[in-house]
Amino acid sequence: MLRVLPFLLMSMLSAFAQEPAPPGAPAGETAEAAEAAEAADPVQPEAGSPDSIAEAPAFPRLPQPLDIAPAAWPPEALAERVEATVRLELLVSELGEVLDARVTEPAGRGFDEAALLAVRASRFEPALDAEGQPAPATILFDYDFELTEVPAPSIQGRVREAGVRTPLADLELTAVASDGRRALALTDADGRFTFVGLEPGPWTVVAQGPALRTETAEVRVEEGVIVDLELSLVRDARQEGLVSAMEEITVEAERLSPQITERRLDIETIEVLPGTNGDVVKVVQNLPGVARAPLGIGQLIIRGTAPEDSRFFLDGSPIPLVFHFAGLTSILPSDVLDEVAYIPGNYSVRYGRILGGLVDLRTTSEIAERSGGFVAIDVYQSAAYVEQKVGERSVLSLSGRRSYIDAVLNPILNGMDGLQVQAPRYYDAQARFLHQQDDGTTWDALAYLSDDRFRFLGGEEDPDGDGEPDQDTSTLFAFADRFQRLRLRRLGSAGGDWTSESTLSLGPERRFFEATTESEAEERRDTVALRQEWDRPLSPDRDLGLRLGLDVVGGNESFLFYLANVGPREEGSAPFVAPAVYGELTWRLGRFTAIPGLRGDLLWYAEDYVGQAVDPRLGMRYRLTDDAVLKGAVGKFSAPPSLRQVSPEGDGNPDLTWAWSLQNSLGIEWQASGRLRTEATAFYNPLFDLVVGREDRLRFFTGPPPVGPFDTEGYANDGVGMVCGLELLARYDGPTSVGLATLTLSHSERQDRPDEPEELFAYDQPVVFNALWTQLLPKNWRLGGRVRFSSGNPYTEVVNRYQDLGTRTFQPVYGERSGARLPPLYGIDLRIDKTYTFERWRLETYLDLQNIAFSTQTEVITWTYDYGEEEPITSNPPTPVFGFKGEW
Amino acid sequence: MSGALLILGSLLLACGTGPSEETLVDELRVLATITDPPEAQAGETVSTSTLVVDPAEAGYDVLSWPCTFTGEGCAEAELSELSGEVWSGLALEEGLSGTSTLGGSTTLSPGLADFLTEDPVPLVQLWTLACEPGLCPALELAADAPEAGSEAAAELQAALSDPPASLEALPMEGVSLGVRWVLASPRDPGARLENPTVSCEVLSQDTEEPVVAPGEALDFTCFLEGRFTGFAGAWGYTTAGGWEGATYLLDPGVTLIDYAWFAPEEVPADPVVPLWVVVVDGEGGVGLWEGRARVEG
Repeated sequence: MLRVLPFLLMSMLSAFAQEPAPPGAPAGETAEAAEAAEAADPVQPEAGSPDSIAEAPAFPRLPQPLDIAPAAWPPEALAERVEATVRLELLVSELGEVLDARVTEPAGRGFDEAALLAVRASRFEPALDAEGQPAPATILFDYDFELTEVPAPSIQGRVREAGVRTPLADLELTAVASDGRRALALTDADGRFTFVGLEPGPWTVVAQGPALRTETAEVRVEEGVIVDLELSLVRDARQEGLVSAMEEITVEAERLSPQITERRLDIETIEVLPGTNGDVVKVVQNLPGVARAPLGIGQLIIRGTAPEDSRFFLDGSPIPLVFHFAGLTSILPSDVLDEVAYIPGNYSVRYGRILGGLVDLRTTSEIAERSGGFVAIDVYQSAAYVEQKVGERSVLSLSGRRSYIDAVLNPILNGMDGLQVQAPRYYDAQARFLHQQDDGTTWDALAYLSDDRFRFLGGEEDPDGDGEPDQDTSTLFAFADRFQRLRLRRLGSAGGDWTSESTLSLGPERRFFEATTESEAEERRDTVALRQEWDRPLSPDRDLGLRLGLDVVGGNESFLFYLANVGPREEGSAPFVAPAVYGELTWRLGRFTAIPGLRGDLLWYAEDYVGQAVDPRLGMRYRLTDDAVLKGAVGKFSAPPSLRQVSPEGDGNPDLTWAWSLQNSLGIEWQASGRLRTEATAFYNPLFDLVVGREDRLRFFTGPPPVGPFDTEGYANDGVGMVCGLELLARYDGPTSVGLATLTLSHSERQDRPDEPEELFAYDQPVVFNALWTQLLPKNWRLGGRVRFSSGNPYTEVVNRYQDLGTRTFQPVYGERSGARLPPLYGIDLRIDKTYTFERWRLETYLDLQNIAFSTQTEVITWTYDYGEEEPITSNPPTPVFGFKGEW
Repeated sequence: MSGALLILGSLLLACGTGPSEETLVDELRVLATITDPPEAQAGETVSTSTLVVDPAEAGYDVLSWPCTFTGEGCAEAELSELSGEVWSGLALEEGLSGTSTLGGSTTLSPGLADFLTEDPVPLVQLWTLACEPGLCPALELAADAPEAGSEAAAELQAALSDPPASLEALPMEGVSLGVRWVLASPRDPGARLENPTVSCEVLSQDTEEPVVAPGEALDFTCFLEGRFTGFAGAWGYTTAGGWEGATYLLDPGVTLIDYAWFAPEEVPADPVVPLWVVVVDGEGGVGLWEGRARVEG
C-alpha cells in the first residue's frame, strides 16, 4: 500500500545533529533519525512554525507512525499505472494527531491532495522531549504511492444538498472507526467521494461543511464489499447568513455599466421580502424614485412621470404586459429570471422610445447545473416550473400558472338572479430551450404567453342550450388582455474582443373591451422586433469600450374605440416600422469615466406619419475614494406618439412630434462600512412637447378611473413639465438580516397648454418612504416587515355642479386644477416563512400579511350622482396571503 | 388583487333594489324645463315651463335666460348694445317658495337660419338659476336692472355668458342651476321632434292621490307616448321616500312601464307627497308627469 519512511526527521535538524542523544531515548530510533537526517534533504521549518517546535531542545523520540490512513489513488494516475512519492511536513501534536500538513515535494496528478488527506487522518506516537514527556514536533514524511499496494474502495457515494439535490463539491468527509481510527475523503465536482482501505467493522461517516448541517451515517465495512452511501445535507440559511438580499450593484470599474444608476435585484432573495407576495417584479416599487401605485397594482411611476412613460423590458426588448390584471402577479415566474434591473433615469442608449424610467427583467443565460422544478400554490393561483437538462450543454424548461379566483368566486357571485359573473381569471405559460456551445455561444429560444379575462354576463350565458355561449345577448361587458411572444436570442463572440447579442422576437398582442352589443374598444399589435448589438467592454488593459446597436420594431397596429352614444367612433389601422441605431463609448481616464452615447430613432405609420428623434446622452463617474463614487449624467430621452394620436383615420394629428425629456442627475454612492451602503441622487428633468388632448375619450387605463377636468381639445404637442427630486437609499447587509430604507422627495408639475396655469402632476407624491427588514431566525424561520408612507396624489375638487335637464346628467364645476391632495398612505406589512428541507425536495411556506395596521388609502375621489358629496374610493384592505412552494 | 376585488365589489353593490337616493329631492333644485316644441325654426317662439322644487321651503329666487351659442359666447350678450337690453330674454322671479312651475317663452334668433342643417342641432341654451336669497350675485345684479353698457351690466353678462364658471364662487347648498337645449332646424312642424308624454297611475286605486302605508311600495303604471331612442329613460323624483331605481331605461316602442315608489318609513309632516316622473326620449324631447300620494300610518 504505502511505505512509511523508516526515518523521521526532527524539524531542527542542525540543532539535533549537534546534540548528543538524550539519555533514555531508544537508540535504534535515534540512529534511524540520524540516518534519515543524512538521507533526506535538510528541511528547515517554515517561518512561523509553532513555537514549541522552534524551542524544542532535543527529542529523545520523534513521532512514530501508529496508524497511517490509506490514501485514495487519483483515478487517472491509477489508470496510467503511475507511482509517486509525496514528501510532506507534518506537525504532530503531543497526542499524536497531525495538526498541520503541507506538501514540500509535490508529485502532482492528484497525489498531493490524496496524501494530505491521508496523513491528516493518520495517528502517530508523539515525540518525547528530554524529560520523556510527549511533545509536539514537526517532521518530514514521505507518503509513497505504490502500485503493489493500491487500497480497495470501502465506502463510496455522493453528497448533495437536501431538497434541491445540488452536488456538493470539495466537501470533506470523515470516517471514524469504533476504536478512534479515522479516514478522510473529499468530494469531487460531482459530489462523489471514496473511502479506501478501511478495516472491516462499524464506521461512522460524518459530512459537514460551511452553512450546512452536519450529517452522519453508520455503515459496516466488510472485506471485499464496497458500501454505497448517499448523503443529503440540509443548508442552514442562518448559518450561511443572508447573502445580500437586495443585491444593488453599484457600477464598478471592472464591470462598468452604461447606466449611471442601476439597481439590480437578486431574484433568489428578494422574493422573500414582505409585502409583495413573493413577486420579484413588485419589489421594484420599494426603490427610490418610484411613487406608490394606486390600488396596489403594478404601475411604474418613476421620477414623476406617468405610468405609460416608463416600461418593462425583457433582456432589453420591451414586453407588452408584465402583470396580470395590471398588478396581481407578474407574468413570468421568478425562476425564468436571473435579476431585475431598475433604472430610474439616464439610462444607456440601448433603451429608447420612453420618457421615464425602466425595469429590465433579465433571464439567465447559464446552463443549470441540474434538472429541477417547483410547484407553488397560494390562495389565488397555482404555478409549476420544470427544468430538464438535455445533455451537458442544453436545458429545456416549461412553466405555467393559472389563477382560480374565478373557480372560487363564480359559484358565489352567480347565485344572484339574472346575472352571471365570470370573475377575473388569468393564465400564463412559458417554454424555453437554452443551449450553450463549446465556444461559449448561447442560443436561447423562449416562447411565452399571457391571457387575462373578465366577463360580466346578463341572463343566461347559454340561452339556446346549444352549449355555445351567446355573447351577443348575454355579455354586459367583458375585458381581455392577451399576447403571445416567441423570442430567439444569440449571445456570443463577434471576433476579437467583441461580443454580439442578437434578438428576434415576434408575436401578437391584443386587448379589448366590449359592453352590451355596441360599445367596444380594442388595441392590437402584431410586431416583429430585431435587436443586434455589438459590445467591446472595458478591460484591465483597455480604457476604451464601445457599444453599437440596431433596434428595429415593425408590424401592424390597429385601434378601435367606440362608446355608444358618447363621442365618435375612432378606428384606425396601419403598418409601422420603427428603426433605431445607437452607439456608446465608455472612456476611462484614471478615476474618471465618461460614457457618451447617441441614439437615433425613426417611426413610420404607413404614409400618414413620419417622426424622428435624436438623443445624445452623457454619463460620468468619478471615484472619489475607494468607498465613494460621484456620478452625474445628462441626456435626451424621446417617446413617439401613438397611432391613435397621429392617425387621420381617427381623430389624430399627424403633425405631432416626439415628446422628450432632458434628464439630469447628480449623485454619490458611499460604502459607509462593510455592511452599510448609502446613496443619494438628485435629479432635474424638464419635459417638452408632451402630447395632450382628448382626455375624455374612451381608452384603456390601469388604476382608478380617470376623473376630470379633462382636456377635450385635439391632440397637440403643447404640454411641458418639470420634475425634480432627491432620492436617498441606505442598505444594510448583515449576516442574518437585511435592511433597506429609501426616501424620495420630489416635485412634478405640468402645463398642458400654453395659456393654462402650471399644475401638479396627477401622480405627484412629494414624500415616499419605504423601510424593509428581513431577519433570519433559527430553524429556517424568517421574519420580515415593511413600513410604508407616501403622500397622496393631487386631485381637482368639484366646487359646484349643474344639471343638463335634457339628458338628466349632472356636470361638475371644478375648482383649481390639482388644488387638493388625497390623504397620505401609511402601511405595515409582515411576512413570515419557514423552509422545510427533505432529502429530495424542499418545502417553503409563507404567510404574507399586508396592511396589518388596517390603514385605509383613498385612491381616487369620485362623487355622488349630483356631485353633491365626495365619495372616496379606498383600497389597501388587510390581506393575508398564505402559500407554499415545493422545490426539487 | 385588492383592486380587482374592489371593482368586483362595486359591481355587486350596484345590483341592489329598493328606493333610490337619487330620486329624492331634498334641497332646492331646478328639476325640469319643458320647451314646447322642443325643436323650432329660426325666428320661432317656443314656450317654456320650468319646475323648481324647494323641499325645505326656505324661499328662493329664479333667474332664467337664453344663450344662443355662437361658438365663443352667447349672442344675447353680443347683441345687447344693439338691442339696448342687458340680456334679451332675461327673466327674474323673486320671493318664491315650495314647488313652482314657471312659465315663459323664448324666441329663436332669425339669424340662426344661416347655421341650420337638415338635422336638428342644439343651438340655444335655456338656463335657469335658482338661489336662496342673498346667495347669488347674478340675481341681485339682475334685480337691480342695470343699464346696458354699465359696469354692472358687464358683470351680469359675464356671469350669464359662462354660468358654470360663475358657480365656482357659489355654495352648493341653496343654489341650483339647470340647462336645457332647444333644437333648431328648418323642418316643418309636422316633421319635427315632439315632446313625449307620460302619465302614471296606480291601477289598483282609482284616485289621483293613492294611499300607501309607511315603508310600503306603490306600483305605478306609467303610460308613454313618444319615439324613444338612444339613452331614453324615465326618472322619478319625490321629496320623501324614493322611486325604485334612479333611471328606468326605455326601449324603442315602449308604451308603458311599471315603476314603484316607496313611501318613507314614517309618515312625513305633510302626508301628501309630491311625485314627478321626467321622461326623456333620447333625441331632445322631454315629458313630465306630476302626481302625489298620501302616506297613512
